[in-house]
Amino acid sequence: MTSNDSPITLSSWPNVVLHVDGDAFFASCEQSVHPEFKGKPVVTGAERNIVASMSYEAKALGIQRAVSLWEAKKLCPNLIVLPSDYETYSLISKRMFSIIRRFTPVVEESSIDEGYADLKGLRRIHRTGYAEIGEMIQRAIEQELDIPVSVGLGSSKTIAKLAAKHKKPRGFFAVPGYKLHQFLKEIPVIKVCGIGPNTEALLNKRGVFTALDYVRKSEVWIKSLWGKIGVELWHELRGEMVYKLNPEEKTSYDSITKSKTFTPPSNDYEYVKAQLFRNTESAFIKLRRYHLRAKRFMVFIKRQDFRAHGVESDLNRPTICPSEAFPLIENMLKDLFALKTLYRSTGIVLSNLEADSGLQFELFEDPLQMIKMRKLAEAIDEINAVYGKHTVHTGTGLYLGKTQRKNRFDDEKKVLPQRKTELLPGETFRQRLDMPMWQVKV
Amino acid sequence: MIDHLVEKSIVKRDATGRLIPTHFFEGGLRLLGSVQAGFPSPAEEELIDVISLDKFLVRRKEASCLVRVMGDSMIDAGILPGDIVIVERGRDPKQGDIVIAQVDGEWTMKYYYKYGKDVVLKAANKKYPPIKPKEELKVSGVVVSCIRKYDK
Repeated sequence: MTSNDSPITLSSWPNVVLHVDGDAFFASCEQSVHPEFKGKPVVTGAERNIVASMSYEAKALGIQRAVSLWEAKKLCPNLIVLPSDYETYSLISKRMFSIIRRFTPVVEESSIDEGYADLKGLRRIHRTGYAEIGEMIQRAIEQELDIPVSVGLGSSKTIAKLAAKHKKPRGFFAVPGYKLHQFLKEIPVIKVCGIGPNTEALLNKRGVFTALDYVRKSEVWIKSLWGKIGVELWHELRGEMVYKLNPEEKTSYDSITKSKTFTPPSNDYEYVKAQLFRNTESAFIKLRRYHLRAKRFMVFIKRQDFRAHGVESDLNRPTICPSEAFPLIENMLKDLFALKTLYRSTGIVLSNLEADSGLQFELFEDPLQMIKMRKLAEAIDEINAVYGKHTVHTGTGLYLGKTQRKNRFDDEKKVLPQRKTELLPGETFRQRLDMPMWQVKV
Repeated sequence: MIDHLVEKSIVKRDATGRLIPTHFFEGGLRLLGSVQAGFPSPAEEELIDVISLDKFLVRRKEASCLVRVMGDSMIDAGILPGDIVIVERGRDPKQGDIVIAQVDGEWTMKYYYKYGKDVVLKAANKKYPPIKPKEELKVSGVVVSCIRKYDK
């Protein structure tokens, strides 16, 4: 027996991590609510004119993510092109995670279509093996949501993810400890989450081509080659859990970004500022909707040649009102803006977010002014909830011209998902029932 | 016990042996306010046993979705064109359930009946004869409730 054939561990399941990964998630959601699109090439992203997600049927025709719709249609003239319906995708995503939570409470929602679950110790409750529990979860998602998912089972997050990617779509792959060495032998290092093309090149030069080559090296050797992350991955690939699951439901944001490209590009300072302020207002609307406040602001502007510049700055205290941040943001813009240069987009990132728990006054502050600003923000939210986003806006918005001052309702209407145009009685453009509409004709 | 209280002069015995209070009780208790006697309000305790309209209409939320009814094949079951039905997907139908199914490529909403191995889909409208699937039948969901809103 050569050393490469000897198992890494004899224990079947030192830890049990399940990875669930939606196959072509957005397109699959569309095929789930529009059964007439099943088995047909479908792409989403009509509102942006690029392919955001494509069904496996479209993938088979050579359509790739991020290509323009025009190019995609050239490849496939009868392509079904849909506007993104993020509301339906989020509803289905939430359901996917609640189905997994029926089996185990420890579930991490890593993105809209991907998650991890800890199954350790569940064999007794479900009276069956871990692989069978994994298949039960996969079956429940497919039956109840009618979307395909790939499922992987391993002793760490890294292995579970590799296992799920191993046989897409509708794949199921379990890697018990004693089979780990056979599995890793088939995995080129580039497939491992955390290893990019540069690291791959470095590893290949040292004779490490597969994940098995990687774990057969000594920990010291790995550490001297690329440090801490390398060692963490080394443990993960050996089935020793380093990356723990973060089982909190995603209800909050780390940062909020709003950016918009405008045509034609402009070198008018007031216009660019109006664009930036509008993005700032949009970002703050989202901030307040999630009951957060922000302290750090990053402003960026993009030139016509796509070169971008940005600066970052902090307020002395977190806020929920754009008017409190405007002086700072204007100063930042002045730093960035160069005369006689054409700009094509502006953007803002709010970060250092925290839960908004009312006002706290500090010495030398003007409490009355702060209360007033807060009331103003609340009033604006209330008015705009009835009459539409940006009905009430800051005066700088007047520089945007008539087309953009009011929301882009009419423009958007052409590429709105069915969900937003065919409302049920009592639903509004802004609020709809929290259940997917199944578009079958009965 | 009484002897003990007598010894501590909390109560005294009169000549007949009955207990009478001593100064211990006089002015010793302050009146802090009035307490409403009568029946306790049942509202709070009773509310534990109610369910929301959501739960009443929906059995398993993860699997449920809305379908807008277009046809008139279930009018005698009280499902009219324009109604919204809540459908649970991925559930095995039982005898007499209203199901949404794909029959030989066409979508339909009908009563589900199974006689031995044969499935028959029956409309709740005399206009439509029962359907016996020729090639393919896929039951995709079971109707659990129907919503009709009158307030615009």
